[in-house]
Amino acid sequence: MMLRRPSRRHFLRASLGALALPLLDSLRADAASATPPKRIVLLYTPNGTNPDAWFPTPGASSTDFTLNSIHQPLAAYKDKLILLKGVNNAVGQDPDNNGGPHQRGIGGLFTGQMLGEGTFQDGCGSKAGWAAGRSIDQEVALLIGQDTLLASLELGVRCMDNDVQGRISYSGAGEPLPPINEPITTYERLFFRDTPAAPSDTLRAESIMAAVGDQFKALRPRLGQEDRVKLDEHLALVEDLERRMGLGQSDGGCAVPLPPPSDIDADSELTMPDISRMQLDLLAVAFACDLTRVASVQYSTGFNRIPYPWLDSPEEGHSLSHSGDSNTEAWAHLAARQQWHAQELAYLMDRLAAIPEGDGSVLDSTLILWGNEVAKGNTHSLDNIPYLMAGSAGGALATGQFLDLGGISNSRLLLTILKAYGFAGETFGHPDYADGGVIPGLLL
Amino acid sequence: MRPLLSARPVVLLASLWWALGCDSFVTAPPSDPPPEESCDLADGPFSQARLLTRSEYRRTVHDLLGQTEDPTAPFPHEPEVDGFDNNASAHKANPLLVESFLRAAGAIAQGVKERGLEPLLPCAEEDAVCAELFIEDFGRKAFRRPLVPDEVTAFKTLYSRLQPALGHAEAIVAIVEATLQSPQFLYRVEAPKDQPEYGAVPLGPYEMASRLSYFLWGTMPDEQLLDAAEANLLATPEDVEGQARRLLADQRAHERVLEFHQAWFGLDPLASVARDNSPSGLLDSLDLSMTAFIDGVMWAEGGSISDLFSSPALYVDSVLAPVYDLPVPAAGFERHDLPGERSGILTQPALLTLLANHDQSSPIRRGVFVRDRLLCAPVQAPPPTVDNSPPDPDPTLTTRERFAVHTESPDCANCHMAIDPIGFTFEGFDQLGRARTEEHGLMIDTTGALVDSGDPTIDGPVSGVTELGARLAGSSAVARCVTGKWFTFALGRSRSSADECALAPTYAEIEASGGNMVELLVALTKSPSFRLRSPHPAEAAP
Repeated sequence: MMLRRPSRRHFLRASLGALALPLLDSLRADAASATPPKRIVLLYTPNGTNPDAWFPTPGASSTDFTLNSIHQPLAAYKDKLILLKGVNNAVGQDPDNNGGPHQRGIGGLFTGQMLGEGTFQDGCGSKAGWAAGRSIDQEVALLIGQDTLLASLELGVRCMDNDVQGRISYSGAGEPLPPINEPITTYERLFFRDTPAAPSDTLRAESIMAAVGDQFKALRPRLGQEDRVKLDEHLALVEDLERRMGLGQSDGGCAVPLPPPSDIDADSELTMPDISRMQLDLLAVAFACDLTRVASVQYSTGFNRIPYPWLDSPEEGHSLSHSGDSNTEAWAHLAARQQWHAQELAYLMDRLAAIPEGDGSVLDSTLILWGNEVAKGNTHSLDNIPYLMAGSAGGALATGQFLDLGGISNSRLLLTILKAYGFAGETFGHPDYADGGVIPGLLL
Repeated sequence: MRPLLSARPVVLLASLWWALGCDSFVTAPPSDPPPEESCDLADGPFSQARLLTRSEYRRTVHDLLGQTEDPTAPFPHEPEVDGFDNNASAHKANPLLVESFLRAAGAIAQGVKERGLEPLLPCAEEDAVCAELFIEDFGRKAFRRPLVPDEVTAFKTLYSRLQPALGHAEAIVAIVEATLQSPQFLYRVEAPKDQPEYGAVPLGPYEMASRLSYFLWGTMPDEQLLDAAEANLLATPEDVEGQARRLLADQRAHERVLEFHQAWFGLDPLASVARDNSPSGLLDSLDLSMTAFIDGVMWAEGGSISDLFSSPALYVDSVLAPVYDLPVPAAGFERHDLPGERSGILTQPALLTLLANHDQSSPIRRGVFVRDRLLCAPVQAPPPTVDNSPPDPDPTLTTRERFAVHTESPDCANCHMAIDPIGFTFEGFDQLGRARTEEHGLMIDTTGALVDSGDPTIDGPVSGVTELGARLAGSSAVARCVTGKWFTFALGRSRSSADECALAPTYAEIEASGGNMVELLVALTKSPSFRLRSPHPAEAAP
């Protein structure tokens, strides 16, 4: 396995501090085509928000609003934001759904789907399986992710639960995609490639993959029905990987950064802010080099116990989010944590805005959708989910708005977003909550 | 020996945290099946192809190729079901994992090339005849059974495509690389016969060999197991018992037993907890101390479930000794027997530290742990509107007094009466597992009770954690719970009612052995659920 090192590539020296991954100012999107490709990012933060510090103050019209305290780090991007009130995680509120509120909430957040039956436990009582359908990032990947090295890139920042509360992205019903928590693994996935230097290398790689395919074929007739489905899915992934191996290899103006440190502890409250920046930097590089157009960034998991010591907020997250409304200090902490996440979002936007593409920047072609599995921790409310959109997906969305939609299903929001990427369907998510079509006033 | 806090998934003890309040009733643990319950395993669940977990992949590659570096660090973590990462239906391929397999195969094959092929090759001639010998010999180890003709052909084709351009050795290395991505290597498949099957089906000898080695060693069968399979010497319970005892006498079983306990006790998050007043290096040392304790109980002391709850041993190194007021050992870990202070797993500082808050003990987490993990009698989660942040430390009250609200409010008391009185017996230990008799100058009360434990013979008032350990040590509910956890770990699925019924003689055997844990493992391997599988449905045309 060789790290590909074409001579034209730049290797950058760290300039942003010991742990920051460098990016060149001259980093430039690869696409030379007239119309830049669209991109999408899902962003997840856990345990609900502080609604009093989240929702803007409305003005005379949807474009006239005042940002609340959590969103102050995004003030410079106000005209690129869409804030929504009155969007419910409707499927999560269905009494027939499986699991507890954090499970249902995260399962339906980007899928609009119920949870299947299963044994993942929310505490000792509520049990559930995985979400019963595809998430919008993966639906978008089917539309715009077929010609890149990776169909999508799932990133985690201290996302350590390996059950339904630890997954936001699904390639299909019961098919969750695990996030990468270690920046070095993200880096290797993006930049370490077998690069055929000679025709014999190509012959070797192709022959090995052919033999692997032959072994799948040799085994298949001897499998029971369930195993056959399981291994057919595996083989399809092998074939897709093989097809993509040659993609995204053009140099363009894209720079391969130095690798992030390989020994950083990805499960530590001390490293979480650094890891966030490294992952966001690598995401920006992945977009700039057109290695993928679809990504998600998951900060921890529903129901976590993470403290935020860099904000002088040592309380464990889930416990803090259960504080009573009269505990103003606790709610100030929750607002501060959400504000930190808004700052990380602003950082990602800064990074994307710094990558020139066409007449603008990569940010112009991107939509970032931020969501949370519950609205408020101490009630587990699934009404008024704090969804925020940043960016217009290439001018497809009317940004600079705050809309109160009065209590609609999140399936309509997810459908509206999908329409910005050319989705042909007229509904998305569980059929019981998919009526109503796109949200008026968002699509241009 | 790998420490318990190896690079395994770190998973929050969500259940422990969650159960800080409660609106519902105690769930009864599984009880004896009614006599009319069917013990017929023919109706499933079907045995599923089982994808190697990261630890299984690491050990298998080590045993197959002598690879010493862990290639699985970048692999995505397995879904965790019931505390275990080897659930047969949940652990399956995803794009990142398939890509990780591809990358690991390339790196491992490169390592094979660098170390030289001699240890792998059954012959010295650099020709196609030797290549075929290699394919059959190496394939039998890697696929854990003899190859069928199509499988041999696939590798011979690969050899003949590459040998002319790259030479014999490179072509052999390529076969290794392809092997590591083949489903026969990555999955343990228990394939059906060609004709429709009826009734529970005995496993084939090679399938049995793999079940045994992956259960007890977490790796591929060794040469002796493969030979036993070839000679069809794994067909009877006695055959299986003989091999199980041989495997359990091997050092490789020790690591596997630690892996089980780490999952059972949910120890992974210990690596990243923050506790006030902890010296640097505490968590690593606690982890090693726990490892030493489990090793000691399992292999050096009596090895019974009861020992797990009553051993007075505490192992300390130079980091831990000052914390627990013990003499600093000259080197490594030193065992101290502290009867009266320490009694078994319940008082191990690793667990006490894990089951605490950063600035105080946590009777709730400790009580929930006992119910969930040891009694298999969980209580339900609290209502969402509960403010379940722990009360702030208050110098005028003990922890127990601050938590009194739970049992004063009728809404909370419903469940907390089953949690808190267990947790209070641990109050003689703070958030670092240090023994204490007072808190802020106030005397500590360690009395408590077992309520609705699922085993009526152990319910009632308890004077402290030593007595709690003694009660658990003698409980059939605990023995059954532990056996059930081992079953889940062994088979990658939970018990069906037919399994539970068929396990009756297994429970009896375990009880007759005095709850010996080695005997428990042997008894499980002899059980019908381990030796038989349900039939696959009649085959549709492929």
